[in-house]
Amino acid sequence: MKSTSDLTEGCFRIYQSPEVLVVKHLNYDKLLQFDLQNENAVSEVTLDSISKFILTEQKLKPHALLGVMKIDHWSLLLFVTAFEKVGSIESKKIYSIKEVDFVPITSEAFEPNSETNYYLTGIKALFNIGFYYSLEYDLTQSTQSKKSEKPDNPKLQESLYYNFNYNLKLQLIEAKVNPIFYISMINGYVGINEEVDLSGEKATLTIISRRSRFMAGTLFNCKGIDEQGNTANFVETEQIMKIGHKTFAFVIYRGSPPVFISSNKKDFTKSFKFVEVSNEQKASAIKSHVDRLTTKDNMNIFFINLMSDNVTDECVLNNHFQNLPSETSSGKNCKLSRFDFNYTMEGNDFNILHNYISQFIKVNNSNIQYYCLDTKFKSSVDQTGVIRINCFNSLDRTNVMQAALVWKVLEIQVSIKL
Amino acid sequence: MEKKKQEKSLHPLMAVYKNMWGSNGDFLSLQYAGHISDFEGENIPERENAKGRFESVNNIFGANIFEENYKNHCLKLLLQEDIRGNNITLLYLLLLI
Repeated sequence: MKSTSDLTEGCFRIYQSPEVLVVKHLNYDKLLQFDLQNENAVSEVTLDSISKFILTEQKLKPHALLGVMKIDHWSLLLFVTAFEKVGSIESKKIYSIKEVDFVPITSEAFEPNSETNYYLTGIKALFNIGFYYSLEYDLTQSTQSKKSEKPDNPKLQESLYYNFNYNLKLQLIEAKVNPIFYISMINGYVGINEEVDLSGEKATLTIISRRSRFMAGTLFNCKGIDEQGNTANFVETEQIMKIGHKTFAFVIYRGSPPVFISSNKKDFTKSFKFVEVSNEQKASAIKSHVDRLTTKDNMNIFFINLMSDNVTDECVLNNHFQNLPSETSSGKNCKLSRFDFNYTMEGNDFNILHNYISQFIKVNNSNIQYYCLDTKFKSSVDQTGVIRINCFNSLDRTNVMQAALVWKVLEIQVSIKL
Repeated sequence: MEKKKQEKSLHPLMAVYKNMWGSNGDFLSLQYAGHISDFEGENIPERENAKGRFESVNNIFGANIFEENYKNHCLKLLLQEDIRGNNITLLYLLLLI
């Protein structure tokens, strides 16, 4: 049963004077202070240090702080004011953000111009769907990634692709405030079903999709790859199945074709145009993209391209896939497979899809493996290969292929025919 | 009748699984393309045909182009990316016309 926060107060209190803006977390004895007379410098202070100010408490009692947003010449705190519980992972609650609000960090009256208001309204509307956080569980990293040793520097640790409010909380991180004041948020999808019946045994199925914050723009504005090796619509999807003392996980990726393209804004009848870059830039971007997919846990990588040779635009893009390296910088496999989804699935015979997937897994099983943690026998197996799937927009066809492929993986993980 | 027989033989986990992956596709499609996924998968062949029509309409007419640019800019602000040179004031003024 889901619960909403519409009628409940959060754990933050906000106080203001002409000199300072103070944020209090009810579960922490220090306060967050923004010095309004010193370029909004932020620091952690004690209760004694603010006693000299005449503070007025604001009505807003939010639940979580996303960070500091700069727009026009304003600095605004962005707070979560309503959420909904999605479920629990490892007994840790996961929430979907429903509403946000801004608190200006200023001693003057907050009077944004109509254009700024227009965008503030739009930013609030973004949170209607697909933003998630947890106070206890790190949604920004996969289960296997969390096992890896983390560097001490929180800035390096947080510079992951899926922490959607990373830049918002950068000022707080650099000021070394206690992380209790801010949360990490992802954009994508979280689905949790805690009442799955697996041959009489109760299990929990979780799907987490994490959108990359790089090249995170909308379809018309964001396509292909950039010079740093980021691709548009890049999403890491993790499926977690917990049965008793065993946890199975599998991570799969999607993204725009790694080709330098952009929307054709002068001719809407063409779905894209090529961006002129040198061969060296192309090679460097592809290499960065491939290495980034494998660096974390030194994995093999498998590209599956679903685009069709019978669709003019897609056929042109298919030729550019030949630039993929045959191995990563660390010597791991980098392979490309083709599956012409539109042509092959024209008769809606899903047996063809299943046969392709079965064959793919049979051939590459030893280079992929699947994550499993057994807490009873204290053993674990790691995923050693990742699969990156694309079609043209990497939406519908990609989702079908991913769902079918991960189902086959699930059958192997739980060792029964589902 | 054939379809019902097929559904009966599916593992009980399959219904949950398809629902969750379908929602996954819808959410990601909404966030990137501005509409829900038009493809649910097996046993719904009529949606396969609709999918192609939807994509071609979007491409030809550049549907919701202003709304998409607005959403794109809001995303960039949320991500605190450099938005200089995007001529957003001009976009805003065009929307007022």
